[in-house]
Amino acid sequence: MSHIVTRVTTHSRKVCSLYKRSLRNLEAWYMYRYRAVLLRARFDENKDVKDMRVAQQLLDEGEKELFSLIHYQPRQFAYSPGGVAHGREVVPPDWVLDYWHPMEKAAYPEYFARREQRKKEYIEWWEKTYGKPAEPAH
Amino acid sequence: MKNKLRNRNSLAHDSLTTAPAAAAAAAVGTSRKMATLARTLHLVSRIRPSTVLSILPRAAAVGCLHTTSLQEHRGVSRVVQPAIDKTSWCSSSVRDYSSKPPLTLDLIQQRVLLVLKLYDKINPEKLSVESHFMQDLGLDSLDHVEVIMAMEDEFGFEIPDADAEKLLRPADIIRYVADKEDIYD
Repeated sequence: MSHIVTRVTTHSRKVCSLYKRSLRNLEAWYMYRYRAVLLRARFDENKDVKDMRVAQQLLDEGEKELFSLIHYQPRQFAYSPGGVAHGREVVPPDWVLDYWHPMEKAAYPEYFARREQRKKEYIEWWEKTYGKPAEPAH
Repeated sequence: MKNKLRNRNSLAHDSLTTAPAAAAAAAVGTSRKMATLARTLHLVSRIRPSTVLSILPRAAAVGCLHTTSLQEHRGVSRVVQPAIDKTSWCSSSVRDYSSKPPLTLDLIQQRVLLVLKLYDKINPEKLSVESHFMQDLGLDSLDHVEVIMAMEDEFGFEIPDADAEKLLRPADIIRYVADKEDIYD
């Protein structure tokens, strides 16, 4: 239930994701380079399996193995989710600019004029691609 | 007091200090500050004993530390300019997450190409900025994963899988890093 699949990922992408996570896990333990080469050999020997059922089963076994061997305190990059600096700098979303006071907007007339123009163009593009929005029935 | 100070300074001089400490050292002139400085250097040299690498820039810094101690001995207090160039990323063996070295597009390109040349499965003669990993250089998708991991380690931030599968040339990687780090020149 917690692991709802939200995107369609191909088998090769799942394999690559497993490989990357297992390499990072390996980095967290010890003797990285030697074991990384061994891991790569393990992935390579099953590279040419054409039967998708076998391939899927191998992938599942790999995921279980990774889960059992995961490090208790993996080293994470600062800005990635789970790292120390994640969410440290919040970039305000674009629509906040629309809520500026008119006196503040008057300080940047050219930019806001261009912004209105851009909004019009965006609406035109949207209606061209997806059609006009349906009128509310009532 | 002065004897003890000179001994402390020579101790710090023996264990080559780190760049920031030396830069801090270089900006100081008076004797009271030298005492606290020597104490910090002593602490710093205890925390990081393994920075006895890349002798040249550090030796320059330590040289100016030595000159400040001599000047202090003579009773002249003067602010000494730091002699190291902190922007040369090749010489720093410690990665600081508080401040990265200033990047330009050219520097990013050099770093990316260097990392790729160091990789075993790539032929350095065939490597160029526009060469495709899979088609021109004959890499596998797992090799591609390894290359992306090397780039993550090099630049210090994580590249998610969705973005990583689109980065199939060194030029793409350079543009991606420049976008993430906000570099336009």
